[in-house]
Amino acid sequence: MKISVELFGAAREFSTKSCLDFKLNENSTIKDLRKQMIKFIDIKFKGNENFKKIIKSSAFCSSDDKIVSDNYKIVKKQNFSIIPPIGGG
Amino acid sequence: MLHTKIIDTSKKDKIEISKAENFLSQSKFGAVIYFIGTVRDLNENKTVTGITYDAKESMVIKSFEKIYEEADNKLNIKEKAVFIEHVKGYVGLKEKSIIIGVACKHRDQAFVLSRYIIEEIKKRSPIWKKEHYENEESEWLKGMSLNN
Repeated sequence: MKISVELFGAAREFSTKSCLDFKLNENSTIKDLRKQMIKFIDIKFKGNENFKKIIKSSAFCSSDDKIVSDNYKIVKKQNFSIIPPIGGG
Repeated sequence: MLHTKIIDTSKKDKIEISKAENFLSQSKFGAVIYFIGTVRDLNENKTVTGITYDAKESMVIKSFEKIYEEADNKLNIKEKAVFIEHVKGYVGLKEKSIIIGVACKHRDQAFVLSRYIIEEIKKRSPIWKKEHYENEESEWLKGMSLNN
């Protein structure tokens, strides 16, 4: 299934687009999505350690703005946002 | 009474203290405090020329509403008027990034509430800063993880 991830903050450096698409198996979790994103960094950015650190320290939120845990089971047509560590104001 | 908004600087929208004054003047409370965050010129020994703010707008507005509601019980401040606007997009040196206006019955409540709101926004609202430096480099600032 195809999952779209909207990029924010430092994660915007991963692409010139505002979203990235990933292919995941059925019954995948946020943990799997995180792994796919790290794989993407390995391929696209030669394993850029700073980018990987961003993914590891980020939260993910569902389209209704709820932070979801790594065990959260992803179903078809769900979209997420990556929420890197915050610091506004 | 609550007003919240994300001001997108790329759309020529402006963050202005007069809007906060207008909003809070509609309340019946006498103790009014404004907190204004601006872009400072130095951070970790680097000369800053501006900041680009990014925000997940829907989530930011929800976090502002939650912080406002929480003050009822956590701070026992039920009667209040609060104005919160935060920018998104590029902000130059000394320009405003956030305005928090608070009106309460008593001054001690207004000080406490104002401080509470800015500290909670820093901890909970999905807003990010990319600092721009005089050597034309730029960097996303480290922040607080929302990953539990």
